[in-house]
Amino acid sequence: MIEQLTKRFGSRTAVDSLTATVQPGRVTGFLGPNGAGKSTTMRMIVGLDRPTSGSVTVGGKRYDKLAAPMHEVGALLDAKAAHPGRSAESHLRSLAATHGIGKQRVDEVIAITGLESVARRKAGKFSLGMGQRLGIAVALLGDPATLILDEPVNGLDPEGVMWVRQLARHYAAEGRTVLLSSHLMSEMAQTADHVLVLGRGRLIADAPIGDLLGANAASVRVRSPRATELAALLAGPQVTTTPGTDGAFEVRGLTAAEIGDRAGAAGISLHELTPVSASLEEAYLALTQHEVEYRMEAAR
Amino acid sequence: MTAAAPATAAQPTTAPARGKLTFGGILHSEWIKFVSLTSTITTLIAIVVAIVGIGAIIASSARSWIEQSPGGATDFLAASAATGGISLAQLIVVVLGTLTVTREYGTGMIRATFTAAPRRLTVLAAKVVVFAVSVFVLGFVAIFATALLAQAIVGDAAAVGLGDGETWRMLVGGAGYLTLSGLLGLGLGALLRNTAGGIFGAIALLLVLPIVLSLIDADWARNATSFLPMNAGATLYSPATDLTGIPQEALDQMPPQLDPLQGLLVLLGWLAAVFVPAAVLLRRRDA
Repeated sequence: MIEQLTKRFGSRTAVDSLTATVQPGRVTGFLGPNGAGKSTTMRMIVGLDRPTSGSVTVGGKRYDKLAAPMHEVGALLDAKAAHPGRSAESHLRSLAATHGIGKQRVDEVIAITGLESVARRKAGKFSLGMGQRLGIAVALLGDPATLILDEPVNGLDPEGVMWVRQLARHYAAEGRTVLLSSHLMSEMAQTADHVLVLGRGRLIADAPIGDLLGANAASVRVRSPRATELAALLAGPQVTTTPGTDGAFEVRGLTAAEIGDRAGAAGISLHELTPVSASLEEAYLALTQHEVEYRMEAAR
Repeated sequence: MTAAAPATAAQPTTAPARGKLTFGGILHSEWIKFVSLTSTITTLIAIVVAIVGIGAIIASSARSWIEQSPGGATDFLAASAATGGISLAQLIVVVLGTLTVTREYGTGMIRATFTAAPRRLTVLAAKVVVFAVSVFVLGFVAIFATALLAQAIVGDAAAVGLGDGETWRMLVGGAGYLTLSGLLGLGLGALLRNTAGGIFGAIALLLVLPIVLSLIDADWARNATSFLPMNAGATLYSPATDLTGIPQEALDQMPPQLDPLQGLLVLLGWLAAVFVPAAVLLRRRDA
């Protein structure tokens, strides 16, 4: 879908040789700090930005060559992409008209996004959350095979956030392609099956969300007066120990119970034995901190 | 506001008819956009008011003038009154034309537009058609109604010669010039993507350039004046200039006189000069 995609704005490279494929039937999270190139990539998918080099296709075709773009891709890229003087309903009707989509579908997406009470109000009077819902309504108009949502939960209330998650999951369960961007890993943890992590325009990770967690697997913090002795005792091919601060050290590859049992068997007293579960957030930070050097291929 | 219950929200809905992206669809879309803004409607009303209002003023003055000097009415008086408001109306039309494009960029609407319809030149063409047809029809109705109004005000001396080709040429030409001057604004809006820039560009071409050229005392400047958009366009709706009886030396001093067809071609040339680069950039630039 995305091949060697590069976009430069003057001397700044926003997206750098990005190659990835977004698969149908699952929610793909598109993750990266602000300015990592997520939005630019999404804009290039629907042809709003022209790639400097490389290509991006949807179902094998460039977006502007599709016979019915709105049925192929529904995109929320910018919640404020509406004329403030036009009512939400007219906004939706005008966009629907391009594909001959009728009033019935317009009313449906208004109902789906819960905008019935404000549909006749001018878009300029909308709050951020309402604007976001209107943007999602536009994306859903064509009942698209691929749904692209850029930071969809921005400005939504908790109920709205839940709703977007369910919508994304539901679309993926129907076998559609869902690409969802966020700069918050926690958001992804609850929604995505697969993540693409972007840092300074480069692809850092392309992996199932579980693997991303696994790569930064849980460790156990151990503190003991006989630390060196204990470390030697625990050593093994699958086990790594890293000295930490203030005399503690981190053990990977063993559970807290195994460490405790072995220490007990050897009569080594333990002052601390704390399982440290790597949160997705930490995994993400670890990735993006070294975004340039660190490249992780899809764990297989 | 209340969100639809999540459980029902994600229910599959009846699949919409799988229409394709067509020029007709884009045209319909642009039409909905054009008429769904209160500001557009207000502007269109202002155009009608300008044409009818100025026409009525001209007809009233003509009436008192005719009463003082019987036989002074010209054949084209009604048509002249009807087209008298065009120089004011064109400014409103230019602003409307520019805004048709630049407000989409200014509000971010253009991204929704180009996501729904990624064929950008087709979108621009649809905008041109919707704008041109609307302004032409409205302009012609207003001009025609003003001609009838002028006839009513002045009386028989200013009868609208509906069987007369020249009268029709002036009435249709007036609506045509109004439309083309508006398209100049629309094209500059598409080229510059900025409201202030587009309006200033169009006003500069229409009003400022003639003043600048008139200050230059040279033959080329005098000759060029005829080819400026407003002067070339004025030939579309002005009565034909009667040059009989003017001495040859005076004729040589005058800028070249374009006939209506030549004027139309010059005006179309100006539009091409704006729309060709606008179209090229529209395809290349990021939206």
